[in-house]
Amino acid sequence: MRVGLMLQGSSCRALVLEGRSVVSVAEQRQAGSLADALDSVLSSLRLQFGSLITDVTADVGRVLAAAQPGDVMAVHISPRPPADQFHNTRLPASIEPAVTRTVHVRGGHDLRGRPLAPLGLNQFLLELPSILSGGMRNVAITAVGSTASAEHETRIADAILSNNSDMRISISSDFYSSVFRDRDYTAVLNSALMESGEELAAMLEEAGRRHFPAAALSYARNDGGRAPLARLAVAPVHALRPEPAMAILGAATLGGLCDGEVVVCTDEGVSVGTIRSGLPVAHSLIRQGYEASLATNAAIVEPYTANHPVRPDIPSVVVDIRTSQDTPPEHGLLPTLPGVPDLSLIGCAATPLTAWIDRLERVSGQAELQRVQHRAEEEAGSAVVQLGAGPTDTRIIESSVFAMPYGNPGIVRIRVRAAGGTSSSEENPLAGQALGVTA
Amino acid sequence: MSTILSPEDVGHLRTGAHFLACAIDPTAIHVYAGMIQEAMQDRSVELITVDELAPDDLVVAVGMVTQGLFIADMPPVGDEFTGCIEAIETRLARKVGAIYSLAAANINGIIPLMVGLQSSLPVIDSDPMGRVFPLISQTTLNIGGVAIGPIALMGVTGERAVVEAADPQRAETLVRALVTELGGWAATVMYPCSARQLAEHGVHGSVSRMIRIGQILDADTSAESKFLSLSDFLGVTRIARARVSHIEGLSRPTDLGLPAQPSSVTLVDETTGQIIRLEIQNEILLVLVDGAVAAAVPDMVTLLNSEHGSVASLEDLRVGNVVDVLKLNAAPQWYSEAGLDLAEPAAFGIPLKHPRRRHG
Amino acid sequence: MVRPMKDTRLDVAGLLAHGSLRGTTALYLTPASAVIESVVLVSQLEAIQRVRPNTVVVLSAEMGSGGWLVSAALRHAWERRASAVVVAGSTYSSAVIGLAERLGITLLASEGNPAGVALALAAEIGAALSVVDAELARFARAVAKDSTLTDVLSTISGELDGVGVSLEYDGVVLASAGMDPRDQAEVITVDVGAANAAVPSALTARVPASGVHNLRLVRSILEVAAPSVKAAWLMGDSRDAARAVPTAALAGLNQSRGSSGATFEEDHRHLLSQLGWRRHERYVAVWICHGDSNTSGPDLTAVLRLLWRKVAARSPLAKVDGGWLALVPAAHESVVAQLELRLKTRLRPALAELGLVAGLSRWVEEAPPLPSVIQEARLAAVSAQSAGQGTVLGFAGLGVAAATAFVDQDAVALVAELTLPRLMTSPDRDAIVAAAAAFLDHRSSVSLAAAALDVHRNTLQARLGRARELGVPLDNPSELLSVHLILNVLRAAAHEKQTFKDPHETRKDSHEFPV
Repeated sequence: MRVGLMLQGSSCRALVLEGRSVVSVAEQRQAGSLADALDSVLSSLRLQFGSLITDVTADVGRVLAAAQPGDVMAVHISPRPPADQFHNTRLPASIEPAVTRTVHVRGGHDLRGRPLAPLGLNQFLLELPSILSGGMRNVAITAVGSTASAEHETRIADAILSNNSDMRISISSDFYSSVFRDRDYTAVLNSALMESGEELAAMLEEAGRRHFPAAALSYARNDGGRAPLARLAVAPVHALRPEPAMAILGAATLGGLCDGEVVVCTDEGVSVGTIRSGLPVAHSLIRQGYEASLATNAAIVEPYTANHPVRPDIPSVVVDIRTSQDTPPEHGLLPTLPGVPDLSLIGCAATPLTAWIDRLERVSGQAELQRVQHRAEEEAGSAVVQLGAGPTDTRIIESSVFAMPYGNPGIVRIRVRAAGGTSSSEENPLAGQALGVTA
Repeated sequence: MSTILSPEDVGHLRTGAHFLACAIDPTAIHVYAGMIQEAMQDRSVELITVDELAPDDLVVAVGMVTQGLFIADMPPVGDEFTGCIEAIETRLARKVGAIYSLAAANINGIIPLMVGLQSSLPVIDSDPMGRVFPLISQTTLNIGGVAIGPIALMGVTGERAVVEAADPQRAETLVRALVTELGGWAATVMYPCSARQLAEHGVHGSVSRMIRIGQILDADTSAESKFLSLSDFLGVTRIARARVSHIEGLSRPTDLGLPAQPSSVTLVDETTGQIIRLEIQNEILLVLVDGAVAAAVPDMVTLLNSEHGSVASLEDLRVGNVVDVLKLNAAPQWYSEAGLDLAEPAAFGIPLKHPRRRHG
Repeated sequence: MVRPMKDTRLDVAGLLAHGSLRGTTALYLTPASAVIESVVLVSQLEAIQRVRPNTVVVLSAEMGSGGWLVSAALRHAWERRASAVVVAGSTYSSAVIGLAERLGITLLASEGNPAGVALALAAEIGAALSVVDAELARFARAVAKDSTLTDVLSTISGELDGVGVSLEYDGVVLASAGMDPRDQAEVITVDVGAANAAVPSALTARVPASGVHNLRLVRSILEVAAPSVKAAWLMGDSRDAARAVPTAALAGLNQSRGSSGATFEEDHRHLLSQLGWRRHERYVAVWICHGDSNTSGPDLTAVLRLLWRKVAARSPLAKVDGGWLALVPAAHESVVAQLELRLKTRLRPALAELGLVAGLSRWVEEAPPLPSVIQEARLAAVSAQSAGQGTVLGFAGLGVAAATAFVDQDAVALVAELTLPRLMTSPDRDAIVAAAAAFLDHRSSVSLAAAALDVHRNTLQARLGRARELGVPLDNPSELLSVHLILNVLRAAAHEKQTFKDPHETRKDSHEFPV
């Protein structure tokens, strides 16, 4: 049995899923603290199910979104610093105040991975004591061209860590976007949320271990997958806004849909997403108007419009979860499943482990292209195994090659998504236990 | 007549510049528009028509030349264009009187505004492409025999070069090679000429056109009324309103909404049953309707979200989405023999004559 | 224009079922089968705008098979009321097939080169000539672009759907491309002339006898390609000759005898380094010469150079006095072993056919002087001559028996005439020589010698008795060595006589190889 958890404020709601059936729901509202709410919910589940629980996956998106971002120092690595105030890239207003200091370091690479300027490491080392003396613990490092070479970012990170190993460092090459300000924004936001991520991970780990010592503990990601709690402390941005993805996945789980379309009718409107190989199809960015985009792989969930194509060749699931179902849903949609609350909790309970490879590669021909793609697929598969999946239990969900418009010939972007870990339809308690040991 | 541009104008220009080159990721335009609007808080930029200048005034084209769409990852630090203008002024021993866009779409449609803000030079409402082309030799000034050089370049590293080449194709080759080594893009100043030459051989109204397009598209009106306004204003015709049925990417056909950089897209017009095929190579080069050429470069082809009337990016080209495929004629110079030689499909590796060549 | 029309009208469905369109896959088939009156093979879209109605439009492979192109072709074909469009087999999207359906025009994909379909169809319609001409013109342009022999042959083979195409000299395959058919083949041969006019060579295609290919067209293609083959060969040969200059020069310098290799290297240090030879670098030498030293056939250099490419393409083969020489860098012993293996597997049949033998120097830890290496290869090659044409012999594999290869056999024969006159004039000389030689070969054991000759012991005894009668000293130890040598020479001569059936031919070793 698998548990999906939703944390918010000082409340916690949980759902137990066995195969495709919801076995139980537990909730604690307005407790003394979030930890109390979590403890109370988990302890009631332990009384009911005990060691039958194999997986616990928590949606912490709302807690993170409400958290006060920590102060961040931004390190920008580029050949030259901005020459005037107009050429500073602006971060979205919500996060801009969190950046209390910006340091420029000479360096950066071009799209081919060649250095544009030697790394200004010595200069940076001179400044480092004053940087560290400020008591700041969060650092976001973003270098020009780090999609092609992360070398300068990692050298600066190493330099900081060798002076103070307690620093929380986000480097932008951990997030794929070909836009500097997107990576800068993502690294800064990630860094600002790391402390909250650490606290959440510690709290969940402690409560989870106490009540379900053998279960695999994970957090829900916005791509519709999950990852072990330890990652929440390192890459909290991926835990932002997982609900839409989890709702799509939850509906697909209930409908037994592996490939096809999921339509969810809510009080706010109708949204639609696509499921492929059991997971929501995802974009590499969350766009926010003209502002910087968040470089995290997030499920594509869009408003359902009158123009939406009806494709009889593609199976679909339509779920109506409006509070009142007195009127039929918009657009003449006919629900294929009875209205179920807690769709996203079902998704949380059912979600597999996921890992992404997203990077630039140089290729000279079709054969090499296939080779690098194959290598990326293998790496993605082994990344899922590292997260805790069984080696025989990984699958490639998506593997794409993108030409770069106006790009250097021969440079392509390879994007691979792999998944593993038991999925709801083929749940196996033994496998779950094995996962619990490795997690 | 001279106009002082407002931050709202810049917002519209951003939309117009994207509309005229919808197949290109607009992020760099957005980044630039944001920086320009910021700068406008305490400075202003003037848009003038070319005939407001004295005929012998020196005017120069400013624009980014890119090898790899990398401006968004490596934003200019700010002194590149002013540095190039100084280099040209030194080389020609003359002061530049005004600047104009190298291209009237995408990032180069908006860059002169920033340069105008920084340098206080007026921006001319003209350009030498009337759209965007990938090569710096693909200009109406080149058709008119205006020299491309000297060309001043400066990259993100601050490294500079001045290229002097009489042949525009050679200039293109040399500049492209330099740009690669400069890091992926270079700020450039080229086609230094007299206001008279620009008046004679340029395409006019480029910037105001992008602003007007933006005004139409940003307005809170229906998609249909936006289309009708564009049709009135630009003579835009709708090739089809059609649903994406198939996308061929670089490596394999994609389906089920997976995003990819497509090389060709097939759409079906559900009312007429027509099959529409777009061939894309950085930009939309060719549109076939039931196999017949409906538009071919230098025609401009652009896509609108048929529901909201917003610019449809390549990202909106997912199977099942409905878009309007629109066609605009390029500047008349492009349909001359010399113009077609430079910019018809054959120049992009598609062995096809432009339909207008046969008729004229 | 009068067209040879058959009584029965051809149509798409009929030809797909049991005609020339059989090998194609129908991507879309119109409900009503279209009539076929002609076929065109097009390599430009515009050409479709001029076709007559009821024509099958075949898009040549060189046009490509992009979706837009097929779409545009379908449109033009539809406008011209064509019967069908044939394209190269590939994965076409449903969109392209959808357009065929929308326009109501049959779309077929061919397995191999669509030109094959066009030709077969043209033959069926009886309008082959025009298609053939168009094909040949296109092919001539394609083959003219190739500059190396390999490329030329590959282009020809590619044009013929990958059939085996080879350049042959006297039955020896010098270079080839493609795959020979597994089963029966039609062999079509066209003279190439040659790099060297004295060497007649031929361009040969082996096409399956199944009849898929139009043999006339295959011949035409070979004829069109022959000048390109010759040009590429000539160019390659002159390049190789230029590259072989240092090797030839080295062999030429090394004519003076008596001095040691090391002295030679010291004497010619500057010259050698100017030629590009580096001291202390290890080489293995390969010497190729006629299996019969007397032969002075046509100059086989151009032929050999092509064959040599199969062995060590990067080390040039030089024409030198008495044969051909190549020096192959050999940093490791394995290189020598591999070279010998390649000579034996890839070159031996051709060497045998051409009446040649080859010898290799051996590998030693310390780089020996180049002249010694060359000498070793030369000695090995000469030793190989006695073992029959096509023999490849490494110097390391030589035994003392090799010494006999360097005996001046004419002189020995002369001595025999003088000292054993009765034996020489005896009518049963050959049998007696064989018996006596075998007896000595087996250390005077009658039993072993009889077994080796497969004769009865008594017979051998009788022949040995006869030999003693004729004055052959079989029992005097001090003379045994000389007698054995003479008998060996006589035996070899007798054997040769049988093989070549030319009584006037005698061996004469090159004066260059004193023992």
